[in-house]
Amino acid sequence: MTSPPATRRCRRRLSIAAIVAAVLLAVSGCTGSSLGDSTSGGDEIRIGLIVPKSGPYKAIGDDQAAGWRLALDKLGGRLGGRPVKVIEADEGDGKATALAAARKLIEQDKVLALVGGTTADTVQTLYPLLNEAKVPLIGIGGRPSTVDDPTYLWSTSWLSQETGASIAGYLRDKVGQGRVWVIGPDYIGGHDQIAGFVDAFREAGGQLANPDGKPTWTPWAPAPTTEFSPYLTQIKQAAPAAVYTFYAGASAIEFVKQYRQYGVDIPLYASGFLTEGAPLAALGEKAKGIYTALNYSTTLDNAANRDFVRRYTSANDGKLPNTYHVCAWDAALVLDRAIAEATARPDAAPAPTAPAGEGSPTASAEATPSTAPDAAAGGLTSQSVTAALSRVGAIDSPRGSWQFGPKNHTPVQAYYLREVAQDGQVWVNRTVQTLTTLGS
Amino acid sequence: MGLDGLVNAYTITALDGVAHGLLLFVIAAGLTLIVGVAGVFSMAHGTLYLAGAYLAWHLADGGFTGLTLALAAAVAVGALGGAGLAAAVRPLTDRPLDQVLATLGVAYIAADQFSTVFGAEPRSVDPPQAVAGSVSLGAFQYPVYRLGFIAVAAVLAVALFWLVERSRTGAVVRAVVADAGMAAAIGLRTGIVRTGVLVGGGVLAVTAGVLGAPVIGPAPGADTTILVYSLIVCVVGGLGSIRGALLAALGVGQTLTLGVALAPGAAAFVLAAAMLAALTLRQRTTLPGRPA
Repeated sequence: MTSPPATRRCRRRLSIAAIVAAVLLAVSGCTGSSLGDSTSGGDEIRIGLIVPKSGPYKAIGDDQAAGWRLALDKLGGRLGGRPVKVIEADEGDGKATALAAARKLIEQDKVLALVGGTTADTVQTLYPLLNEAKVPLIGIGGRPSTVDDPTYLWSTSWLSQETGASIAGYLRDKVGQGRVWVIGPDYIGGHDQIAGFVDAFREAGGQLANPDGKPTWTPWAPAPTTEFSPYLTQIKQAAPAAVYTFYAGASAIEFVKQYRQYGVDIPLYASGFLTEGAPLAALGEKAKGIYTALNYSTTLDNAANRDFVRRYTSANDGKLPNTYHVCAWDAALVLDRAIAEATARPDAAPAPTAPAGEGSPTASAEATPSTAPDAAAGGLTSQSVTAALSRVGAIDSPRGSWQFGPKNHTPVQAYYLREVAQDGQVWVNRTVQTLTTLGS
Repeated sequence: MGLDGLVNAYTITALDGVAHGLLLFVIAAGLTLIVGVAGVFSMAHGTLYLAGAYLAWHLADGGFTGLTLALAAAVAVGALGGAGLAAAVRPLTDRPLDQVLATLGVAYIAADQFSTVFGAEPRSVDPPQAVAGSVSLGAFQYPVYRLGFIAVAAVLAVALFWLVERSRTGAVVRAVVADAGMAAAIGLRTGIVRTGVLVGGGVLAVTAGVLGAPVIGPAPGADTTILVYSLIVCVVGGLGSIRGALLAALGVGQTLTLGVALAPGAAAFVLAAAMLAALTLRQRTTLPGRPA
């Protein structure tokens, strides 16, 4: 029945299908478009906001943009007393899209500073460009552990290892001689998150319940794991004293859902992202009783947070903000301070107020000669803003007061133990206690 | 007790593999026919699943009414989607790479529309309350919905198998797979068969989305996940073969569950190796679309 051409065609189809599958295995995600036009006017300054407007991280990007706008509204649309034009661009899923967007913002729009970066990938991709163009990025999301020269990189967010490290000592006390099963996704962010916990937990004398004493990794390729039952069945059988995990987004929802469905009744501890934002909204009661660690909780009792939560909920139908909103909000506070400082004292040397003596020698070396005031721009340049960033001091944030660490330029901040609980109609991460202060 | 002897961590995991495999089968069966019969490289297949999953989320009301409504809507959406794809690739007959680009474009546009309409947050879909709980199997618990899903998907698999391998309609479809030119020469209207297969494949994918939403929920990126697994099933199972797709889907299901339990870290490698082996060995078989 079969003629050779038909077989050949079939083979060709099969090969094409295989090639496409292989390409998709390697690259998943898509690109998006950037928008925004550039008009200059008076003493207006331009800031580039680069967050995901497409792809898998769009939900986080939307939250970040909302937090940034909320802060800018509060500051009357001015940063350091100067009217601001915000030019937005799409980060996409990180690498190529983010790089093209940042290049456009720097070269075409000549922005004073960049704000954004949801994934550690983006920050990793952008930071050579920042050093080359000498434009600072206020990072508001994932921060890779591999940046060795953060002169132009200032993050209002966190180092991925810190979340796990902050809760390790507490959990060690909690379980006593019991062992903890650790499970997480097999990609760089997951490894950073989990390693932060495991290292600190071992240091505190804790032991893992996993069979080989190493964390269990769930595949991230060819596609993120959606099927956690094999792991949950193993965990149930091993009956450890507690489980520690990190997942975010859709994986977080599936993990917790299946944790309940398969009747695993072991206390669940996690990095705060498991129940932050969209996953908590989707899970609701299923997340009840999960303990997590993070640098923010909506229930924190301080004046800045009360003001922040009130502003956010009244602008968003009573929905509650999360840590992504806070980090973007803080980026505006930081720039407000830095621009005011750079305008007032354009010639000041960078980093005089750095708490520890380590400082950043590269920062002073690169920035000092180039801070000569530019008359036309009123002395305000990307480099004078960068130099001023080290002098902004303590930021009065909804998460509590924090300041930039001298080494990594990430916040020295408190981490909180939070428990998922019901507050009226909504489920929240209720603050239980302050765990520890971390940052460098 | 006999049941206790049978129920251990591995059998529970294997049962999950069956549930996962059958879900992949219902999704990929449509794609294998679309590529094998209609010769259309649809990169929008995961999109159809995602459409179904969002339907299930949107219409879920905690009871069977919502599920029934969603299933009815799935048939309509799937048929329209399939017909739309057929129309879109009609000018691209025998230009497979252009078809890939065109349907990939459709998939991107649809993904963007989904996040505009349904929001970019991942959503959690709960099955009807009557089947939302878990039952005890020995020392373990198992979600009732998954047991129900296994039953429904098994019925679907048998029905599809009968339709394609035993019925007259299936004979026509298989004739077009084997040799489209000869089929046309003996008077079969291959154009209609192709459109019909696209419509049928679309209905299957959207239905799978509705039924599978509590297992693989609607979220940006879920379409790519589903597409990758469907393509793997198609390549391993052989294009146009329902039997091959069933075996491959069950194999992939077990790899993703029992595989990761027995050999952690090797699951992704095993899937890629299976594709490579299928491509290498398939060269030696004479019948296209049949597993070696």
